[in-house]
This record gives sequence, C-alpha cells and structure tokens, in this order.
Amino acid sequence: MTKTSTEIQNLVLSFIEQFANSNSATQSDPTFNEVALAVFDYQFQNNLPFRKYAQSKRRSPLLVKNWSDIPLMPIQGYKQLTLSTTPITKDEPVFMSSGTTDPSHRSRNYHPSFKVWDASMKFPFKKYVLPDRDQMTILGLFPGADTNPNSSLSRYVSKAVDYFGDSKSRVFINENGMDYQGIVAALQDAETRQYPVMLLGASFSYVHLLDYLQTHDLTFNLPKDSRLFDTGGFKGQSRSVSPQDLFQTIQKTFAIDRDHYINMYGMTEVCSQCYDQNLFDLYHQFPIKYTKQAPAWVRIKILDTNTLQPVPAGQTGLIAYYDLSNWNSCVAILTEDIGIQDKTGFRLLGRVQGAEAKGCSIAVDQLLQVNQR
Amino acid sequence: MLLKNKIALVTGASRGIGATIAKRFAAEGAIVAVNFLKNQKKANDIVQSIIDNNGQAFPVQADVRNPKAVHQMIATIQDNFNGLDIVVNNALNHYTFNPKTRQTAESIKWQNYQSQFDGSVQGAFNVCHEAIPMMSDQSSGRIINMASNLIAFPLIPYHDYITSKTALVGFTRSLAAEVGALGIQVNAIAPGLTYPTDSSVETQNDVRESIIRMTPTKRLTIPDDVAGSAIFLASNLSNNITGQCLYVDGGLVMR
Amino acid sequence: MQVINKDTLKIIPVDLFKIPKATFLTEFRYQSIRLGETVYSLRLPIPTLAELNVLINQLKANQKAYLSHLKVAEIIDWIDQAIQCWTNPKCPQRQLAIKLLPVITGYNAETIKLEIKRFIRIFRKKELLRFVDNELNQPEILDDFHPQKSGSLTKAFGPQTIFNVFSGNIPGLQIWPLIMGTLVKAASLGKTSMAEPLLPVLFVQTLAQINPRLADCMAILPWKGGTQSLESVAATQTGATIVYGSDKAVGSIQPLVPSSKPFLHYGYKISFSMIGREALTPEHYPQTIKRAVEDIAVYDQQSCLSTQAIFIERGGSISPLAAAKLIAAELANYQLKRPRAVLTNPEAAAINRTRNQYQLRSLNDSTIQVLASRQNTDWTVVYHAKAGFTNSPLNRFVHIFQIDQLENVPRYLNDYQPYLQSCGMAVDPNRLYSLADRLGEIGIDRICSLGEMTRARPGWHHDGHFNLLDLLHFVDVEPSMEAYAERLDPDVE
Repeated sequence: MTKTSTEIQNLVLSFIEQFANSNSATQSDPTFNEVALAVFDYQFQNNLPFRKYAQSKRRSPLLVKNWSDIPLMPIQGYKQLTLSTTPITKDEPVFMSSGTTDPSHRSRNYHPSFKVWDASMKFPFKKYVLPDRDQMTILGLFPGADTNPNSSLSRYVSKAVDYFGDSKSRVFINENGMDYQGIVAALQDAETRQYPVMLLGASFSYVHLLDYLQTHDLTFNLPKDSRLFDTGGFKGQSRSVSPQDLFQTIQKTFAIDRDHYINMYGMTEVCSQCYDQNLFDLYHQFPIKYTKQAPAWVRIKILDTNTLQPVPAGQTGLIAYYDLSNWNSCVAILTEDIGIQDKTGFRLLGRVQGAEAKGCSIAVDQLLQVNQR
Repeated sequence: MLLKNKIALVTGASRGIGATIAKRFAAEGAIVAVNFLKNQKKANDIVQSIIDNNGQAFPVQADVRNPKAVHQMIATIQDNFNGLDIVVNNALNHYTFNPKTRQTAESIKWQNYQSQFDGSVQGAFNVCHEAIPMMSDQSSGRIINMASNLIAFPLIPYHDYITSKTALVGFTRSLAAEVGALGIQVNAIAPGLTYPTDSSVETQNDVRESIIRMTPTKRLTIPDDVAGSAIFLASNLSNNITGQCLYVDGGLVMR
Repeated sequence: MQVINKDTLKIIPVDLFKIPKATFLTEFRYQSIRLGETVYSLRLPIPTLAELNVLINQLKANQKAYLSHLKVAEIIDWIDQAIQCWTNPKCPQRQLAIKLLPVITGYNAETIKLEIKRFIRIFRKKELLRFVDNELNQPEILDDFHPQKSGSLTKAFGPQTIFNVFSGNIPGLQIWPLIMGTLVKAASLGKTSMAEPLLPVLFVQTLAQINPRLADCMAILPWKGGTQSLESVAATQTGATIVYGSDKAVGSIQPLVPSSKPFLHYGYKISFSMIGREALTPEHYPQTIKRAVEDIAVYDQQSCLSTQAIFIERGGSISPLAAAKLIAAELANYQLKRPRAVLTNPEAAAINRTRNQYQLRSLNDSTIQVLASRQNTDWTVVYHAKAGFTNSPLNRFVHIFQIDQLENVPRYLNDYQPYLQSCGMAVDPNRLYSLADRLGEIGIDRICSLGEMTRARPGWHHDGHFNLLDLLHFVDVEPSMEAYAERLDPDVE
C-alpha cells in the first residue's frame, strides 16, 4: 500500500532515530531495504517525471525487491525535470545548485518540510564533527540561510551554528563579503583565552581567507581540539587550488593537524551528508581512518563508468547515492563524482572530468568549454 | 536465468502449450503477459501459479484476430514496461484433432480455411505489426510462431489447419528477412502431436500409438519439450538464428 | 592466470624514436607490451635541451648537405619506394605496426590492419605527383627558376626545418605532414604523441633502409606535450611549426613560435553526414545504412573526419526513424565484428551523461528517442524528429536529425560554423553541386561519399587551405633583372 507524504516522512524519521548511532550498516540493512522500497513506491506513485524515468528503465515497485535495483536518477534530472512528490506550492523552499557547469541549468530540490532534512543533518554532524563535545565555538565561513535561502549549504551552516554553536559562534560572511577582521579577532580571542574553535566553510572560502591572512602576515596557534571543516571542491570557481596545497597552507596558518581536519560530502540534490571519520576515530581512540562514512540511511555504491554496474572494492567509478532522507524527490541518485570504496568507507576523487578527444575531433564537453571562453 | 526481466507476451496462454511456455518463461525470470481470449479464470490461475513460484506475470485479454484489441493489449504492455522483448504467437482458432471427425477434401469449405488463417496467420500478423515498432526501438526482439510438424508430414490431413500453419512458416521467413536488420529474430517451432493438451485429447490411442511407433524417440511430445525450445529461441542462446522452423517431434520429421 | 615461462619468453626491443646518425639521446624510460610469448620492450627517450639543440643543428646540416639538392621528382621516387615496401604485407615495419598499435591505441586490431593498408596506398607515386601538381602549377619551381606568365622567373623555397607536433588520434596520420615537409625539402623534427608514438618511427626506419641520407633529415621523438622548454627550442630553432591536435595543444605552442615564421595548425573540427531520400529506396537503403555506420565506427569518431551527426531526409521509402533504428542495429552488429576501444572514465561518463540528458528529455518530448546498447556504452543513437544540429561525445555516439529537405541543412549549422569540416553525402547528381555550393558557402571544406568520410584524399585542401603553399616563400627574378644581366654578359654584343 503506497504511503502518504506524512507517513513516508515518519517512516524515514523513525529509521533515522533508530539507527542514528549504529556503527554497522549490516545492523540496519533489512530495515533499510524495507524503507527504501517504501520510499521508491511512494515516489513512483507521486512523482510523475520520476515514474516515467523509472518506466523507461523498466523498474517499477512491482518488480524491484532490493534497494540496489531502484533506478538511479542522474543529477541532470534535477536540472531538466521537476522532481517532487508533492505539488509545488508558492514560496516553497527550494535548494538550487550554484550552476556548476551551465549557469542556466541549475539543480532544484524542493523541500515541503525540513523535518527529515534537519534530523538527517543533526545526528551525523554530532557523531563525526563533534564526537567529543556537545557544543563549541563555530566560525562560519559560508553565507548562512538568511543571506542565501536557496542554498543547501547555507542552511547547513546556519543549522550547525543553531544546534551546536555556543554563544561566541557566528557566520562571518554575507552578501557584502567576508568579515576578515571579525574572523581574525575571533581567532585571536580563542588563542588568548584558550578555547577551541571550529572553522566551517567551503573549500574556496578558505582560499580567500588564506589569501587575506598571508597578505597580512597572520598566523595562529589555535588551542587544542580546534578543528577545521571544509566541503566541496572548486566547481565553477575562477581559481582552483590542489587540496594538498590548500591543506598545507591551512596547517601552517592555523596549526591544525590532519586529524583535526574534516571534509564533508554533500550536494544540493540530496538531504544527507557524509563525513571523514578521522575525528570520530580520534576521540573514540580507534585506529584513525581517513575514508568517509555515510549515515545509516545512506548507501554508497561505486559504479563502472561504462556499464554503470557496481565495481569491486578498490576500483574507481561513479558514486551512486541512495538516500532515504531524500523522500520528496528521488531516493537513488547517480552523481557525477568519481569515488573509490573499501570496507572502511569511501573516498571522493573529484568530479568526473569533461571527456577530451585524443585529437582533432571535438567532443561536446570541449565545445562547451570553447564556447564559454 | 536466461530471460531475466525480459518482457514476454504469450498469446493463447491460458492452457496447453501456451500455458507451459508462460510458466517456463517466468521461471527463467521473464515478466510474462498471459494473453487469453475467453477463459479469464484459467488465465488467472496460470498467473497465480507463476506468482506463487516467485515469478512475475499478469493476465491480458485480447482476441488476436482483432487489430484493435491487439493494439490495446500492446499499449498496456508499453504503458507498464516501456518495452517488449519476446512474443510467442501461440493462439489459434479452436481446433480438435480427431482423425475420425476431420473434414475431408470433399467436405471442407473455404470458411474452414479462412477461420484457421484468421487464428494463426492474421493473429500473428496483428501482434507482430504492433510489436515490431517497440522491438525496433530497442534494436532487439524475438518472435516465435507456433507451427506444426504436420506441415512437413501430413500424417492426418487436417487441410485447413495444415495449410494455415504452412502459411505461418512462410510469414515467419519473410518477416525474418526484413526485420533482421533491426535486431529482431523471427522463428517458428513445429511441435509434433503434443499430448496431453485440450486440443489433442480427442486423438485416439491407436493413432497416438502409431505415431509413437514411427517416432525415433518412441514418445509423443509434451508441452515442456516445446517450452524448452521456446526458451532457447527467446534467449541469447539462439543469437543470430532467424527465419528457422525448429521441429520438436522426437525426430518424426527430419529435414 | 596465464602461466609465464621465462625460458620461452622472447624479448624484442623497440625504439619509439628515430634520430639522425651522429646524434644522441642519453636518458630513457621503458614500457613493455606482452603478446603471447613475446615481450616488446619499448624505449622512450627523455630528451634534454642540449640534445634537442644538437639534433636540430644536425637536421639543418643534413638538409643543407643532401635534401636541398634533391629534385622533387627524386624525392617522390624515394618516398614511393618506402611506400612500396609498406604495401607489401611482409614488410616487417608494417607487421610490427599491426601487432603493437591495437595495444597502444586500444583500437580494434582488424580496423587498424585494414585502415593502415588503405591509408598507405594514398602515398603511391601517382598520388604524390597529383598532390604536388594540385598545390603548385609548376612543381619544378621547387628545384629551379622557371618562367612565369608574368614574365618573371621564379623559384620556391621551403623552410630548412619544420617542427611538427603530431596528434595521436589516428594511427599513421603523422606520415602526411612528414611527407609534405620532405616534398618542400625541409628536414622534419616530429614530436609524437604518447597516444600513438610508433608509426612515424617505423616509416622513417623503412625509409632509412632505402635511403639513409634522406631518413637522416628526419627526427621523430615523443615528449610530454606542454613541456615548454623543449617546445620553445623546437619552435625557435626550426623554420616553421605545424601543430595537429586540440585547441589546447595549438594554444600552448603558438606563443612559442616567432611571428616571423610560418605557423600552421589543424585544430578542432566537426564533420557530419546527409542522407537524401534517393538513398533510402528499397534497393539502396541497406547499403546506405552500412556506409553511414562505417563513418561512425572506423576509429570510433576520434578523427575529425568522422561523422558526429546525420541528417536524414523524409520521403524515402523508409522513414528517417526507421533508418535510425537500422543504423542502431548495424552499430550493434559492428560492435560484434569490430568492438570499440575500451574507454577511460571521463569518456564513458561523458557518454552516459549525454545519454541521460536525452533520455530525460525524451520523457517529456516525444520528438527525441534514444537508441542505445544496453548495459554499456558501446553505441548510441539519439534520434531527433525536429531538425537541428549538435555534436557528440564521440566513441560511436551519433545524433540523427530528421529533415524535410536536405537543402535546409545549412540553417541549422550556424553555431558550429567555425568548426565544420567534412560532409559525407548520399544524394543524386542533380542535387550534389547545389548542395555542395551551399555547404561551401558556410565553411565546409570537404564533401565525400557516405562511408568514405574517414579516408581523405591527399590532394584535399586540408581545412580549406593549401598544404604546401603556406610553407613556401618565392623568389622572383623580374624581367628587368633578366634583361639587365644579359647586358652585363661580357660576351654580349
């Protein structure tokens, strides 16, 4: 029996609450399958473009018995189609991608309610980012939801500060740009009064901040347990910096070691995030692993770029993302990110590059680049 | 499984050879449309028994002699599965194989022929006509037409039946010649006397025994024998075989 | 697991470079290719700046001492002898090429075997004679002063050396500029691409067996594209630079070439085909389909001569959609006959991405249909019932556009005009020239029959221009001088 939108949200919520702290996927597997199929059935019945897509792939709830057989909606689907199980209402919150390759085609992910989204954000943040404490001083380097209501990352930053920030926490960037002096003051205060801080931002926010600090010859010796959180690459940015270079500069500038650096994997099209597990391991005194972990309501598969079938562990391929918290659009998504997986988790290797022909025959991707110049 | 998630339509599948093919296809992973003309209950029973065995099937009514009905049937399949991989043209106008009551050359009327043509050839034509555009969208498809070994060896001259089945083999070859370039294979199966089925129960024991005597394997054909060949022709095992007529009759006919 | 028996293993060294006598390379790296019980140990040089300088100086000296004195007809004879060797199936260099190139490039072995055989024939003597004749009214002006209609006596000079930057997309394509340079009596420094560094080396080896002095006017070696120090020396020390390849390759070399020196480049291009209704009769359509697929499948569209989109005209006895379906089925057959190369992650992902894009569109747009191999990226046909134009992610991915009249094709090509190159056609003679005229108007520079797109003739005005002419400079001895010199003859009356 197909569920209603309230029923499906409650189903996902209770799954999240039940397994938020489970450390083994096998524990949640049978329930995950059950809920995933229910969500798929719900989406198939209520999201017409998704239904058509599933039909074109010959997948219907009648036939799909395992979550891994749920048809994967390509990221482009969020650009080309309206993917929502509930009618779009006026002023309904929608997250849009920043127009990574083609500004005129931005992904749209509609959110008639944030109940599931918030739960999906909260538990893993606590588990992987703050395993040692309930609150800390969070210095946000990405615009918050008030500045940028259509960005999933902005909501994320605001919620992080709401849920886990102490009174000294705030966001240092808005439509007028970054408040460099404010950041410097906050960092100096932490240094003097010896309380740990967390810098939280997108990769390119750091590039700008580091430029500023370098120009002004500023470095910090941040107190113990301070940490640095970053997310995203340099998609669509005017400048790109290699992650190694960036991290080395960060280390020099803030005196934060690798174990206190954590990277988050998230995107507009889904409602959950995955994290490096080193902080979790560190504070639980486990051997430290730097691979990423998905929350219990997410499954990651790495697919062969040619056949789109799963590859053996240790081989690279496209990341397929199955996310129960994505109840309103599509539970299964084919990303354009290349990853690699082993039994400890997965690693993100970046966005799949535009294909380049070997010679003079120009491929679409190249033509796009040429025309953008 | 040889037919995993393939969409198969078996016409006249509520009983006999058609029913067996439907079950065996489902056991190989196919999603089977069980076509029937009148007997909804029997068709439902077949579908239920497939589902009980963890297979996938659904009943679909259509008179294959009626182009509109066939169009409707194929549209249903298209709407639900957006494709069609296998068609078995098994339906025919009801025919009783009784050597004692058969029409002789003298008594038979053209209407008898016409009625068999309508069931076998026109039925196959109607279904193929609707199925081929879908199959060509996929650049692949399998069509299997049910003939009879009587066309090569008219042991008992059922004139109307044999003539129309012979025509069906001609139809098979001609169609195969054209649609091969679209990735579609068309073949026929010519079973010997298949026993037991509703059509063959009236074939008397002495006739059956005389056929068994002449047959190298010393037995009659059973529906499972035919279904095995149908699986072969529907699956990748028969890649690049088209326009053929496969005799499943214990070697009674050799050619 | 294959059992390796070290005793029966044969190791054959293969040098992926060829340099003139008396020059040296000192640093190398190695790669090996194993075929059955034979291991080919490939030696690749890591040239230094000093070595490259010496090499270029030696090329100059060899050109001056030998090549500059040869007559064009003699050069053609020598090249023809090398080509004759290659047309023999027993030619050891050709055999080696056929063995190793499928491994190096990933292209289907049979395709390579067939295409190399076809390719090499276009350099026979008669073809080279036609080629120079096509480019120069009097090829002899490369040898000596010859009278012109204007009254002057003129001689043409090529550069002393040419720096060739080869692309690696199509095996053997490098031979073309190599021969062109030699015909204008220039020594060649050829930088090969890692994608195909073998065939030009093998060709020069053959030439060396026939005429070592001529072969010593050529140096072929690979290095990593974009190594600016080496490329800068090569571009400044030689007399002309020719670059084949991507806009990126062209863009990285061009700034290094002194503005006083000729710089030719052959960059990104898109080709397409047009099928008229007259080619879709019951009698012709099977062949038409086969030809169309040939242009897609040979070398997996990596050549700029390959088709990326096909316009199919309505009104034939099979519809454009039916033709698209037949092309799809034929691509499936071709895959069984000659499988496509294995793709890199970005290449495969690009195909899946483009497929998805059109599959998603087709959910709401019934004018689009995606016909594609299942479970992999082997082949893809995107059928558009509305005419338009777009290019493909390559590797056997083609767009098919239904069109009412082929005469309307040019109006869909505007956005792509700077990149258009070849058009393969299936039309009757009554329309050929009017269509060719319209296509020429918007910049297409080569029209050939459907099925032959990947095989350009040597006399083709590559990308619409002369091939040799741009490399030459001419010296005119004007009539006044001729007359004046006559007067200064001590023996004159």
